[in-house]
Formats: sequence, structure tokens, C-alpha cells
Amino acid sequence: MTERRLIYRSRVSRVGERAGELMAGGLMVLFGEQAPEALAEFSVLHEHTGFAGVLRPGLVVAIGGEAYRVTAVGERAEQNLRLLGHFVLKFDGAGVPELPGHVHVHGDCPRAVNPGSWLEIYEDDPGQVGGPGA
Amino acid sequence: MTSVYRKVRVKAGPGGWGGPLVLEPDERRNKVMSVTGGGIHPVAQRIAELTGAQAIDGFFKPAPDAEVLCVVIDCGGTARVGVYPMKRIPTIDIYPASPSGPLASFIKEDVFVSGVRLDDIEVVA
Repeated sequence: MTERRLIYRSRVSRVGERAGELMAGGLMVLFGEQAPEALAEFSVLHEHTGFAGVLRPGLVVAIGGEAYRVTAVGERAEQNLRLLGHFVLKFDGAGVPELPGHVHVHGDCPRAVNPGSWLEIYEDDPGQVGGPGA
Repeated sequence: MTSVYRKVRVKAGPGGWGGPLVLEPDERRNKVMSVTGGGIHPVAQRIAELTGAQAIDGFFKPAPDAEVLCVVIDCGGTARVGVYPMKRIPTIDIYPASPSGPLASFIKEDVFVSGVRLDDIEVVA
């Protein structure tokens, strides 16, 4: 049996009017609510209240209950999440990060995200139990 | 009345791309907006000091786009790298990024420069 361990949870508060243009191309930009307006326009904004975990391949990112397995994590993504609630999800299942700010996942990018949806990051792989933080 | 503002040239650092950008504030555009997270980046501070513009933290005290002389970013992602060039706001990336991603077509040499260090900023007469 696998056990889920939630390491991040934040509620989507607003979806920028042009976020859909990027999502149609398989890319979702997430930011905490304090993102400046130019960025907010292209982003899914959420009530970021801090992140203290480790972002790594094998984790699951869930948006509105739809789960996506993380395949690669850029070197800047964790710091961006911690400081700004910011990361860029790329739905291409790549095994090597394309850009330092990107988090790659398996699956198709949702066509839309609704305010009020939960953004969650959890681990469910038993092989990692006993790792850092356990 | 003599202007309190000065002009600077910002060139790409090692491994960087684009530029050089020549920036000169005026009464309307006089904010250097650091969109880096974790406070005002030293590169934004330096540009502000040399030009006479005001350095601000884009995440805590954002300014309207029309008041922004340039933004300073430090992210090798898609959003910050692409959105400001698309809006034709001069963009200075600390990270040595090159154009990529869905907004890559907006990232042009005349509005984007990357890999920038403090030494890559100089006052021009």
C-alpha cells in the first residue's frame, strides 16, 4: 500500500486572462498572489504561504484533483517556489529540465483551472520513505 | 532645468545573450523593478544608483508598467523571461538565458540582455 505524504497545499485564487494561451501550449505558470500584474496575466495565482520541502522527480503535483508525476526539476524551481510560490509546469514528461525554473510532469496540461481548486504536491512512492525529512 | 537622470549601457555577461541595452530614465519611466524575489537584486540597485532612478521590489511594491524603466529578473524560466519583453519593457536577466519557450519570439536583443553582472553596467555620456 502506498501512503501519500502531503508536502504542499495551496488554493488557486485567480487565473490570469492569458494563462490559457500558455496552457494550450502545455505550460502552466504558477505564482503566489503578490506577482506583479504583467506576470499575473499569464499565471495561475494561488495563496502561497511558504514551502519548506524538497522538490524532486517522483513527487506528484495535483491540480484540482488531477495528478501529474514529476519527471524533472530545474535547479531554480525549488527556490522560486519557496520565495514566490512560483514554478513553471511543463507537461512533456521530460527527464532532463529544459530550463532552471521548470518542473516537468507526465500528462496533458489541463485546458482550464478553476479558482478554488487545490494545488497539492505529495509523495506516494514507498521507495522514498525514510529519505530526508522522514 | 537639468535632468537628474543619467544614461547607462547594460551588456550581456559571460554566456549571456542580447543587448546591449541603453537605459535612460525620464519623469515618466523612472523605476527599476526587481522581479527577483528575496528583495531588490544588487544589479537593480546598481542601475538605479547610476541612472538616478528608483529601485523597487516588484513583488511587494510593484509599479504600473508605464513607470518601469527596466525589470531585473533572475529566473531561467518562461514567465519572467518572456512576459516583460513581450510588453516591450527592457529586461535584464541575471541568469545567462537565451530565448526559448512559447514567448521566445518576443525576446529580442533590443529589449533583453542576460548573464548581467554588476560590472556589465556602465554610465554613458
